[in-house]
Amino acid sequence: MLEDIIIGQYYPGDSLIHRLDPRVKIVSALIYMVALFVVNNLVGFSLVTVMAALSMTVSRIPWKFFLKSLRPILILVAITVILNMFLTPGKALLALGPLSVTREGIMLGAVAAVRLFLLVLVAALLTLTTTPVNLTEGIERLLSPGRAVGIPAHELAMMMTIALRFIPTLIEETDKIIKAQKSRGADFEGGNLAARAKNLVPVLVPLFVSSFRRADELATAMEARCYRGGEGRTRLRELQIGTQDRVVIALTAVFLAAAIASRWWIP
Amino acid sequence: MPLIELRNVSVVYGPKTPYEVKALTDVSLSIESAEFVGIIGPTGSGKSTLIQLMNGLIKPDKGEVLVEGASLSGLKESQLKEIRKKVGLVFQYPENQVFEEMVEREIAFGPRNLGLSREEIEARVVKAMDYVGMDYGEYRDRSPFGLSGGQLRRVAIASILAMEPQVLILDEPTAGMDPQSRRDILDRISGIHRERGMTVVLVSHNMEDIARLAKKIFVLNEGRLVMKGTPRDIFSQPEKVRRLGLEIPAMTELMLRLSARGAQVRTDVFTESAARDELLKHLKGAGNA
Repeated sequence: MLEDIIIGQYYPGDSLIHRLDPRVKIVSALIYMVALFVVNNLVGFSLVTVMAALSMTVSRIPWKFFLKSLRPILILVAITVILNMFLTPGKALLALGPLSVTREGIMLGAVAAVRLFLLVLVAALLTLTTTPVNLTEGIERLLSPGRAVGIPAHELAMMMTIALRFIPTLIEETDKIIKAQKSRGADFEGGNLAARAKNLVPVLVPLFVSSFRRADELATAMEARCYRGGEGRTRLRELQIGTQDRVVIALTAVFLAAAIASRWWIP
Repeated sequence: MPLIELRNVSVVYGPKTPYEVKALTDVSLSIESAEFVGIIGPTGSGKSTLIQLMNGLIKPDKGEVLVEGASLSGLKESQLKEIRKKVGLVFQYPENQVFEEMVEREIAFGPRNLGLSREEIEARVVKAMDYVGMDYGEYRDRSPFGLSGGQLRRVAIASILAMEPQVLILDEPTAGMDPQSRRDILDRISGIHRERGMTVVLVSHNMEDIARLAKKIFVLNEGRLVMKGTPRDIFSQPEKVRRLGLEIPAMTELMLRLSARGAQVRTDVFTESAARDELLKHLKGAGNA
């Protein structure tokens, strides 16, 4: 069950998307998300859908992994669609007592569903093709101009790096503790909600204890290696914008322009 | 009928992803009642996977696991609980699973999950603490988190013993312990084996311990069962054992070297005391000649 968590999971590969500078990928993904909410007609939605499909194909990551990333939001999307269907005023198509399904509601629900799906797919594309180290490095570099106005770019990036670094460790640890308690006859599947919550105590307490110990050890190890924050720190690998990156930036710009155009110039 | 039997078992982690790992490939073995079995193999050879199959924590992708002749395939979680009552598994660094405020309650967790009566639970806690060498009166209401690493390890082992399993499986029970506690823990485990006839499966990197205690050894390498037999069978093939990145017991090594130089000594010697006896015998023999 714990193996299903996919956010923050890198899929090794050597596609064009894998090789892009993380800054370019982050900015492109953000621009794509803006475009998602700019488009409002069939042409626009076709454009963003084709763009997402194209990027995913170029990444050469099996479709299974993208579909997996959608699983956690299925319920959210279902609720959104149902609420939109019933609560949007307009031409009623089907009446269920005081509630009625409207044509406008179906349209709005469909639009919301497409936007949510594409949003998650593109976020998954970013994390699947970028190692956590590169991702946080990209974020740090993108945020670093904000230092002037007091944004602690390095500290934020370091926190993210550490958090990402420990996700697999915590999953593994949780898995191990669950197995150890199962070996002691613990039951995590039966019972009502209250009983189930109570059954989690034997998992959560050891998990907290080991997390605190780990944080403490990590801090000591960092200090032992003279970590003092971002000031004056140099890097082993410097990020560099290459030709591919420039092409992608240009493509993204054209894509955004097209998205805006589709909204205002096509009826 | 073997107590635990594996038939052509294979386990694959993360199948059809770039992270695919073949943890076990076509492993068949059986463990008889009241045996003391050792499992050795280099890191990542599949030892942990193997023992987790035995109490149904992991399901095999191919093959079958049988406990007392009954297959574990297709059992529900509630039925697996019955298996875990019979097959007690002590994980590596078991102190990481401790969560209660009192030693007594910690050890009682297993028996409580078995739905035993209060008196029975208390009796079992007292007995389990005695097995691992902890005084019930002194430790019962202490917080586990205030104990030393060695004491905490004992509490964790006692928490499995209190379930009174038929088989006790231990994954590196003495990892990170000082030599004296190490010896004490192992002596107590072999004591339980001898006195109560409990079947014991010991996973260890320490060849001395395995050679001294186990009657039967399984050697794993890269997910395959590559050797099995008595300590004598295994360690009489030192080249093969070393090729797997494993050591042979120091005393066996000494005897092998002496024997290679022409001394007439037995080479199936695993402990210091046995080596001393054998050397004395040899020296006396040489003196007479």
